[in-house]
Amino acid sequence: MATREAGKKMIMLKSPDGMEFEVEEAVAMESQTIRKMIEDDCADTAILIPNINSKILSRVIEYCNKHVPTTGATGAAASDTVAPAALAEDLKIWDAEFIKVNRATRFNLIQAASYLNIKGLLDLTSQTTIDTISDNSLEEIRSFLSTKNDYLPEEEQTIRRENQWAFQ
Amino acid sequence: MPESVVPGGEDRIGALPDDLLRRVLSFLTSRESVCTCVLARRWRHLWKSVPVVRVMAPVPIDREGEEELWFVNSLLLLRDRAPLHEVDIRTYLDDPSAPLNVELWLRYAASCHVRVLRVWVLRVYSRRLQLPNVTLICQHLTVLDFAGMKFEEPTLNFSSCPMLEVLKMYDCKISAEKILCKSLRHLTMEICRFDLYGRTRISCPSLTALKLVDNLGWTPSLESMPLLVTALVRFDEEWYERQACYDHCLNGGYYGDCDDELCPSCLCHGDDCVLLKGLCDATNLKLTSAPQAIICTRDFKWCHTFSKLKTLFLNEWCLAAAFGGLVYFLQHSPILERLTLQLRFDEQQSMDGKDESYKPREQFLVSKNLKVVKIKCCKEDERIHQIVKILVSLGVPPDLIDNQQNSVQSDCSSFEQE
Repeated sequence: MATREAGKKMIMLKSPDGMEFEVEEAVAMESQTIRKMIEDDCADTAILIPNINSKILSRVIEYCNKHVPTTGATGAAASDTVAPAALAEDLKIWDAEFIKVNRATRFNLIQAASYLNIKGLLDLTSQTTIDTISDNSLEEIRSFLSTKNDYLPEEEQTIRRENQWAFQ
Repeated sequence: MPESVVPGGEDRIGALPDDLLRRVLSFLTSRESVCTCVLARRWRHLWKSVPVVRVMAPVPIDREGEEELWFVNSLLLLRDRAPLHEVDIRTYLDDPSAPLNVELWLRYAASCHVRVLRVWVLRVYSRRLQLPNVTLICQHLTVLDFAGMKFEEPTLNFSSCPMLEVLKMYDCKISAEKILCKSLRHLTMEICRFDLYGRTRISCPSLTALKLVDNLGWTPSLESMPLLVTALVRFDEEWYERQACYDHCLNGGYYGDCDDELCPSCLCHGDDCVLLKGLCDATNLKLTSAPQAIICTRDFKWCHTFSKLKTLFLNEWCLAAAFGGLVYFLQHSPILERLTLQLRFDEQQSMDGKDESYKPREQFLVSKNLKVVKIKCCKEDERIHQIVKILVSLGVPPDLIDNQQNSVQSDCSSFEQE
């Protein structure tokens, strides 16, 4: 957890299982959903984050802590300078470690990133999911997604023919 | 990190709502995403509203360009006209009908409110692709990234893309007299050929980051950019050797004022400041070039001051003509904090005035904020001592000079790590 520093506004996030997380406002505002609540003045005391348990919420906060942009001494926003390549590389390595989680956790992280509207985390979780299903056979993907093929064989043939332009 | 698929493995990705699933699908190539239609009934139409069109070069180059065109055309015709966050097409389009097709794709993308638009025409022996008409009217476009294209319009005007912030061009050929974009913040032009007889003017007053790297032809001229923070301008030495970059004096002059009627770079374009007017508001500047390039030095006569410059990176060119470039920058950067000189010292290359140490004609003060001067070079060289002497004679305190041998890096990324 970030230590409280003078002049930094803190926000309390509550998970439905009763855990409370005190985070810097800037970190919480990595989530566009929370940002909107804060900007609309709906965040006086604590913000309840529904549907996201404390285990997942703490991981999301960990992600935001790492990704909160640091403003330079000049006060220029990070996007105004060419991103230092070393820093970007460091974040990439950190992300790769961060996302080494089991599928259930990754699934929960996707949902959390979507609800909290954190683009970077949603991109990371989506990309990782795609990496795991790319280059697998149709049957493997179905099994991976726990999707049952509910087409009749002749139906599947028709659809395949319809989209022949893509199956090459 | 691909993870092996265990049959019967538990995953609930399929339980995500359609919207989220479309987002996950947007990381697939469009070809893969269309193929998910055979997974199950629920997936039959999902691909049609995936917010990204992503077409990557087929691995075997022998796939006909025609086939790629057919794929993209089918995709765009059959998908729903759902809004597009991103169109990312990087492929070989070696087919005579490609220009017309690509133009239609761009218009389709614009009509779907595309925000990020990337078209890379990969070339082996083929020509650059020229669009019949590039007037892009894209209200939501923020990032535009082109490679392997040719633009022959008299003005590349992006005023009908009012949100455009990032423009990248790679391996493009540009004949425009002017590139105009008021909203642009980041501009990158790399290995582009400026094909006009005369200089293309870059008019992007909101720019904060600029990269001009290894371009060919006449160096474009920059209009004022008061918000500029970071600029990287690099001239490839090989282009000079092959005379592919025109800004060098036929008579070996250094300031671009040789008065020879046969020397086009000194004669034709001598009345306008090319680079420094645009660069003088930068905070971080990296300017590297072959020593024979006159493009930086010819601008000195306009006496622009780098009033915000804190970090400066130069290479050998600044040592020629009695350290003309080095002296100029030290004189005109009142708050400079870090100076890096990267020196390679080719054997053939001599430093002018190496027998005499520089005597400033007039007294001036080096920036009081100067914290470090790094000299990076690959080997012990007596010329280093001379440079140190010059720096000291210019008023640089000797304890700030950090002499680093064996540390030459010549790529752009070394600047970003500074």
